[in-house]
Amino acid sequence: MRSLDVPAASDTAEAQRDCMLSIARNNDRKAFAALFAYFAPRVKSYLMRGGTPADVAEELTQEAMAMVWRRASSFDPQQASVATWIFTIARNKRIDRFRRENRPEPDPDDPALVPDADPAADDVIQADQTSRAIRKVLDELPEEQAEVIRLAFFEDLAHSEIAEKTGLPLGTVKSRLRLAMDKIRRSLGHMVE
Amino acid sequence: MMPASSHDKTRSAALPRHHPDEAVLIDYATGATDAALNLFVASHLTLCPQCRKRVAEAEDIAGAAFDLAEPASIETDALALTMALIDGDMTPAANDRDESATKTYDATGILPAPLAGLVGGGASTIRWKPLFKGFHIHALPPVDGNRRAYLLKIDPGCVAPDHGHGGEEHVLVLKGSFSDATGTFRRGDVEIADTATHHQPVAGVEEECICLALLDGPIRPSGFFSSRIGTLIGDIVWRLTARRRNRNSTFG
Repeated sequence: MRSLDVPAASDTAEAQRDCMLSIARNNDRKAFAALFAYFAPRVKSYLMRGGTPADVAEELTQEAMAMVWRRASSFDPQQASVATWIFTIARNKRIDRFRRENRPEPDPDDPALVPDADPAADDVIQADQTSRAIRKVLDELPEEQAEVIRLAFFEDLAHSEIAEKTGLPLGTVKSRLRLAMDKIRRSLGHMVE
Repeated sequence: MMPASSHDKTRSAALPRHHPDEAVLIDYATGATDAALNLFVASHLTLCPQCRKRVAEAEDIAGAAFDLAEPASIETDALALTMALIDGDMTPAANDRDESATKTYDATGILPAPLAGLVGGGASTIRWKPLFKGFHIHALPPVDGNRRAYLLKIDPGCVAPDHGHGGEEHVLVLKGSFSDATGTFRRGDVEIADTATHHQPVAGVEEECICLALLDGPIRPSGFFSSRIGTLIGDIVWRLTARRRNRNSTFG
């Protein structure tokens, strides 16, 4: 079994997961530094793409990465990849800061929560493969679908803003997003409902 | 991150059949939705495992975008400053989510947690304002400038005036049901009407119908109710929620 005390470079999903687990179990600062080297520039880039000025983005990035450390024990490798988890931390930091109140989310302890059905075996996605697989699918999308996906996920535009920017009718943007998501889901082996 | 259920439900809950568009869920996942729509989507997600899954999938794509987009350059002392944040101050940063804060839940299970928190308790604690025959309203502290949020209670079997909309109208059923030309909407179901939609919803006869509604622009009654009274009603709804906004300047 590979030692978790000296993590390899953290640019693969698997290495990132090992770093997170080492942080959670051992307060491993080397592992944190490795994750920081990879994710801090990407968190900052995400914030700036969303319109945050560079100096504020720098500050929010440090706060977000500090939260990665603090919340390490709540990271669940079965639920999502490290990249997705860190994305949600960065997203919530950005929203909470500018709205001065916490972003509403479904609460697992809410008596009103309708529970998930038992997950089918093939719903468990290997976090390792997701990033690679998604990149492959995005490359294979028809250009008009790839364009709206890019604008939504890389330029952080709401779908109404996509319509404004491209001049496309709102309905067209919605249906292209829907088609693109269906394709991505099929390629990743999800069931299309 | 979408929560896996930690509750053992003894009663089976019917699943919603009318959902927000994929585009709305993507906006929610990427953080592009305004605060009122966040509240609306979070409330629907509480009741809809399928949409929680869709949001989780969109979050996976956003996480992949981290890898695929060009990284920004960070300050040379960024790591040191971050470690200082971690070491120096054991209290959470000013706007870290306070996970230990007392949460408000609706014991009757009608209001999803995000709403119960805003209302300050369960659905039974709401002081409803009568609007017109069979219709009652409770304006919510607007969390955003552009949209008005309110809870609507309709007595069984009551018919809403035939109306169109100045902007979009989002409705989430929390209790009971209503029907219009599109179909029947029950707990968890979402109807999003745009400016082109004119509809005349009818509440189900079995029980009162409680909904969460967002309004972009004034309701414009049409048809039989396109009278001074109808327009007055639409404007009352609009102004009721506006007055609430001015009073609650902590949210401004």
